[in-house]
Amino acid sequence: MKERCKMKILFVCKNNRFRSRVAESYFNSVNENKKVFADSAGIIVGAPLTKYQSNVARKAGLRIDGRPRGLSSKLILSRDLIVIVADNVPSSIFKDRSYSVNVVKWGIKDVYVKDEKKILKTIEEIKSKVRSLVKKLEKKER
Amino acid sequence: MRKILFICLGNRFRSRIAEEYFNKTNKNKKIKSSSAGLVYANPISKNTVKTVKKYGINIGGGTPKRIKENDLKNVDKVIVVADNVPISILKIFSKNVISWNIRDTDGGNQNKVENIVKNIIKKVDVLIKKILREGVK
Repeated sequence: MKERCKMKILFVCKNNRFRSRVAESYFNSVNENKKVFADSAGIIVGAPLTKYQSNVARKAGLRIDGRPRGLSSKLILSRDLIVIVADNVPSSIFKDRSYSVNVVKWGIKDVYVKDEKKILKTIEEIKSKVRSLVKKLEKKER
Repeated sequence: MRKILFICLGNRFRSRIAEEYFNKTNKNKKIKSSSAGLVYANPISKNTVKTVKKYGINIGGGTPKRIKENDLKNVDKVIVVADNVPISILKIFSKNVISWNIRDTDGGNQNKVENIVKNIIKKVDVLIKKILREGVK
């Protein structure tokens, strides 16, 4: 399925725990163009998402369970677009001469506190960016 | 035990040289070093391994390692042996991060590879002397 896709997107954040996972999950639920594939990865691999964050995400209609995935050069090289969902992942990592991939940065702040309101606000911010991306891709397709 | 973590982009070449040379040269057994890369990559070419071996440094064994959050939190000093790894992301996890700003090799040019090896050796020698004088700071 992935191999047949015309466009492959990778959402990236610091740990692939929350922000990039939210983007991946929401993108795959709203995008109807089956030629576009999206997944996610993190720069530094750490502990998985807490149950609290996972439950809040569920309230926003998203399932983001599972273990974080680290970034690899193979992954970067096999994607057409890298979306840095985070504010604290420098885009210069992807500007290495061995990679030639399109990179966009959304600059979404991390949420460190157990604050449902803040987490939901961040999810909404990401959802809005994802909706714009899906629209942009639809326009391109036409 | 004090710990130093050397970091480069793929943990194939620069950080591996620093780790191997540090552990071979440093006589203070209370200080150990390890290495990791920001992005998981395939191992370096055999030719480059051969060139580095001329300096008594073996970077041929093992597979590249990726940085883990806990590694960053559990070491006393993080040294970025690369010009293409931004230290801002590492500073989120560790307060003691410095950069040596070493360029990467394209793998093809032996002279370039040797110059990088010599440069890293020089930096590690200075580091070891400093550690002997002041400890890991």
